[in-house]
Formats: sequence, structure tokens, C-alpha cells
Amino acid sequence: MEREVQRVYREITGRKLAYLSVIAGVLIVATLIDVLTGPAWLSIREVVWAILSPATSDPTVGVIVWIIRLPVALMAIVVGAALGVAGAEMQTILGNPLASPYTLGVSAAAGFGAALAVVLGVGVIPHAEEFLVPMNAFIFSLISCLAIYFIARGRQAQKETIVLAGIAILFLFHSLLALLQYLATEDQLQAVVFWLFGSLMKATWTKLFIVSAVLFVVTPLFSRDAWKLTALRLGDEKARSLGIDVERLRLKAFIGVSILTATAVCFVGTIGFVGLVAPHISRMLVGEDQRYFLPLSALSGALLLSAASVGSKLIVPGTVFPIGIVTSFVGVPFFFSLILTRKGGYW
Amino acid sequence: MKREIKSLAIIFMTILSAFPALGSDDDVSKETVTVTDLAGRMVSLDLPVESVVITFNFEEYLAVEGGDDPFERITGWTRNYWDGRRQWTWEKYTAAFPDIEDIPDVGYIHKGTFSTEKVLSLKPDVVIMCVVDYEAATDDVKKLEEGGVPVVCVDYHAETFESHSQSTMLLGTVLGREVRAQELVDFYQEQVEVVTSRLENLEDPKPTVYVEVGDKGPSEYSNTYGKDFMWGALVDQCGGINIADDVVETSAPINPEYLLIQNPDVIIITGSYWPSYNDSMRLGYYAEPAESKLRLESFTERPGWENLKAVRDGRVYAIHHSLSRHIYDFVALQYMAKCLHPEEFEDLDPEERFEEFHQRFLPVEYSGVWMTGL
Repeated sequence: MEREVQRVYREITGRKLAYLSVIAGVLIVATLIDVLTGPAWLSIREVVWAILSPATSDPTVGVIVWIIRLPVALMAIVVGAALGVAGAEMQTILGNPLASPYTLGVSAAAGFGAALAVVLGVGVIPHAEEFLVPMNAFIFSLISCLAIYFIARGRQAQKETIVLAGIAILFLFHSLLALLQYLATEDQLQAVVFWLFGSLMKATWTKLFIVSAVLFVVTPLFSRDAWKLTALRLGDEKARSLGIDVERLRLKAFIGVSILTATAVCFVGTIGFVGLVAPHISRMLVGEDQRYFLPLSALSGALLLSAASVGSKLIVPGTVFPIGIVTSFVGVPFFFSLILTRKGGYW
Repeated sequence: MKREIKSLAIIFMTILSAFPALGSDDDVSKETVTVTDLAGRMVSLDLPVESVVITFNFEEYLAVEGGDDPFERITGWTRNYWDGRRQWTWEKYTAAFPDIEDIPDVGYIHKGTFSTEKVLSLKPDVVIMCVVDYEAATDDVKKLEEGGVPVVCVDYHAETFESHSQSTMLLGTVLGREVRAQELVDFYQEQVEVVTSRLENLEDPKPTVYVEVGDKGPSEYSNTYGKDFMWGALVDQCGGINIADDVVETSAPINPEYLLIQNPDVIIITGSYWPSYNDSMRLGYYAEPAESKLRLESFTERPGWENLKAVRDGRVYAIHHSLSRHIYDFVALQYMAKCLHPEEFEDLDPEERFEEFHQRFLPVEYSGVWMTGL
């Protein structure tokens, strides 16, 4: 009997590990394709040569690979992973399948922050568009999270309170954003609209480093709480009976999610869909066990955005289609196919 | 009923004519004329008109109107056409005509703030719009017509010689300034033909060209234009090959690496006063030559640009973004032709022609920088 149980356990975890490695493998392939695609149609040799030996390769090829393609391809991975993790933990702590950085207004707040910077003052501060806009987006997404946090804390961190507060925040920032768009001049409006479309093209090595750093600091904090977070999905009461300080855990995770989302969104604009769908894909494949659920959410988020990045370059070769539009085009059919082929519940 | 209104109008006009200070024209009796506008609509107007509401193409209106105070008949307008949209032009005109600050605003059609009620309350004799406005506001136009205010559409967006001259002549008819309108059309035709006649016989190989709106500065690639659309169409017209022809439909940014690999012969950055991006390309009435040059130079410092043919040959130019879709687009045509075929058009001086256009047709003086090279 004992041995039988162990065998089944090994079989289940083995299958979960298999899913993880498959998605990781596909992600690597997608990233390679991402680095290899572009209107210049460089050969694999040229690209590999430019990566391995930048000094001796053709300067134009060097610029294309190192300054245009690599930051974008890597940014797609870290931003996708960050949104995947943020969405996963948001759904976990709120026990709500609709929760995501987008649905709870964090992205809307970031959009408002960016628009505010564009309308009020980028023009006055040199080189502001590179950092003032993301800074402001970051600050406002944190403000929205803090607002939700304090409302939630006042109500013993009830799930429903957080969700409702988040949705109210979403509407508030949508209205504020609309107001700004109304007040903006033509060129400001253009800048705001393009920011909202989302774009990976503004990726630089500095920005990439910042997002990666935040991702690699925050995610381990979640995995340290992996068991507690898994238990939370049994319901607050059961989790409490297992000795977990539910309120503390929820608020702590919420802070992590906020920082992660704010950093990811502030550099690339509102790419909303990934944070909602990546966790669902992950859950359908490996279930709620955070040891697998968390990394797989990160990997599926990264994969989705990576695939979207390839798509954005291929839809109209030569131009860059806004990534925010493409993520939905890539993600929805895949998501539907999972829903339709799955037998049990999704949640 | 109509006749009653008309006779009332005549009576009114007769009363007016009793006060010479109020009626400026010699012939004050109204005459009903039917015109066909650029949207293909037949519009009946009582001419001459004494009050006008205008939503677009102010410069064309002012050029045809002429006189010491060409704003006199404007009783309402879309202030956002200038204010907040082309700030330096607005400042230039308000400096010369401070009173125009008080002209009532009727809202901007493309922002959804256009108020038919405001227009009706101003009781204009005619509303002048451009076709693009009309298409976005057909319901509003219907309401205005029901309220007894005729709407006439001009069209400078189509960018053909015919639409430009027809629009200008239509303004001449509406404003009773046919002679001046004809002068303007003749001048325009002359300026355009200088370029088109020579392009026909041009043997030069066509240079490849990349045009980008300089509104986002060097740090970010902004829109470029496709075949048949604005600057893209102009490149074609000036005997160049637009590198974005096959990739951009109307306007969109291109992938930077596409530009690097296409390696165009000529690069043109459009400029204006776009304060929302600090390092945007700056041109216009209050631009300084040295500063404009410096800003243009900063575009050539983008990653990979040092190896571009256009940059190495110094063939990077800037041109004012609002020089298209207007009667003075001949300036853009001439400058673009000169950038693309410098030898063939060496004798052409588009800047001087623009200055001449200001002197002859516009109520403000030419100033600033509207085009520049490295």
C-alpha cells in the first residue's frame, strides 16, 4: 500500500515535471525564433556570430542583434514571467479566477500615471520620456495597490473586499485616463494611445536589468511560502486551522504582486491579457500545487509574450504591430483550445 | 415662407445699407447662389456672407479673404485647430491679432467637442468645414442645415492640384473674393509646375527615402507613411522610392532593423512644436536655426545610424510637418524635390517662396525655421 502511494505520487509529480520541461523547452525555441525573426532576415550564422563575437561581425548586424532584437526578446521573457507570476498569486490569494493585474486596475493605474507624465510635464525635463513616464506609471500602480491594500486591511483582508476595491480602482483610473485624453493636445494624445497599446520596442538593457532584478527577488519570496499559498486554496478557514496567518499571508503576497506588476507594466505599457491567462494555462496542466504552479505560470507567461513578440514582427513584416493587441490574438485561441479539450473544471 | 425670409432679408439688408458703417461691400443686396462643394454636395447660399464659422483650413480662408483684418467675418471657429494643436502658429497669429483670442470656440469635431448648438447660436451665414470634418460630423451637419445654416466643404487633404484649386475657388465664391482666389491658384500652380515639369524629364536614378514624424524624438521610432498617404505620397510624387511603401498601409512605425537593412539614400524627419516629447524635432515660426539643426543631428545618433548611407552622405533633412495638406504644400513639394534631386533643383529656393507666400497672402510675417539640413 505504502509503496503504491509512493508510486502514484512519483507518477503525478513526474508528469508535472514533464509539463514544466516541455513548456520550458518550447519557450527556449520561441526565444530563438524571436531572436532570428525580423525584417532583415539575417541568417542563423550571422546572428550566432554577432552574439558570440560582436567585435568582428558586421556593425549593422551587431546593432540589429544586440540593440534591437536581444533586449526585446529577453524583455518579452521577463515581463511575461513577471505578469504570469503576479497573476498566479493574485488568483491564489483572492481565490478568484478573474483576478489579474489588469482586472484589478493596476494596469489602468499605470496607464494613467504614464499619461499624466506625458500630459503634464515630460517636455520640461530632459530625457524624461525614457524614465519619467515609466517612473510615474510605476508610482501610480503602486498607489492603486496601496489603496486596495489599506481598504483590504481595514476589512480583515477579505477576498471579496480586495476584488471589489480593485474593480472600483479600475473604473476610477479609466475615468481619470479618459479625462486626461480629453484634455491632452493632439501630440500628447498620440503618445498616450501608443503607450496604452503596449510595446516591447522600447526595451533597453537597463530596463531589462531592472525588471529581471525585481522578478528574481520577488519570485523566491513566493516560493518560500509555496505550501502556505497552496493551503490557502482550500479556503480561509481550513488554511487557518492548519496554523496559517491568512491575513498576513494575503497582504504580504499582495505587496509582492504589486511590485512585480508595477515594474513589468511600467516599461512596456498595458499588456493585460498575459497575467490572466498564464495562471489558468498553468493550473490546467499541473493543478494548484505552488511548487509547480508558480514556475509554470512564469514559464507560460514568458512563452505567451515571446510568441506574441514573434507575431508582432510577422503580422506586417517591416513594422512592429503593437504587442498588446497581439497577445490576445495569440493567447485566446490557445486558451479556448485548452478549455474545450479539458474534461474537468477549470478552477 | 422662403420668399418671405428672403424678402425679410432684403428689407434687413436695405436697412443695413442705410448705415454705411455696417455694410462694408458696395452691393449689399443678397443673391442666392448654388455651389457644389468638395464633398459633392449642392449648397444654396445667400451671398455675400457676412459671418462665417470655420472648423478647418484657416490659413486658406485667410489667404483668400485678405485685407487688413481677415478675421473680421469669422464669428466662431474651432480654436483647437491652432490652440493646443499647432501652438506656435497660434502664438504667431495671436501676437499679430490679439483680438482673435475672443472669437468664440465651437469645439473640435475630431475630439467630439463640436457643438451644433453653439454654432446655431452664433447665427453664421455659412459654416466652412473640410471634407474630413464633414465625414466625421454628418449628423451635426444635418442639424445645422435643419437650423437654416448652410455648410460648405473644402478639401485640401486629397492633395491633388484639382482639389486644391477647386477648394480655393470655392472659398473665393463664398467670400466674394474670386479675383484673389484666382491669384492664389495661379501662384500655387506656378510653384507646383516648377517641380512637376522638371520631374517628368528627370533621368536621375530614383533615390530611396525614409520619412519619419519627429514627434517622439530620437529615443523612439515614430510613424512613417505608406504609399499614397501624406508624406509617402509626396516622396513618390517627387521622384523617390519610399522604403515603407510595401510595409506600411497609412501610417505606423517601422521596425528599426528594417530601416537599417534598407539603408535609404535620404532620410527626412518632420518637425513641429511638439512639447510632449522634449527632444522632438522642432520647426515652425519660433524655431531657431542652430537648435533645429542640433535636434536633427541627434536623430543621426540613433544606434546603427552612423553606418547608414544617408547619414554618411549628410542627406538627412527636416521639414515642417504641417506643410502637407494645405495650399502651401508646394513648399514641401519643392523642398522634398530638392532633397531628393539636389542638382536638378539647385536653383529652387522653397524657403524664399514660402516667405513670398506669406507676404502676398497671409496676414502674418514669415519667421523661424521650416526646413533644414544637417
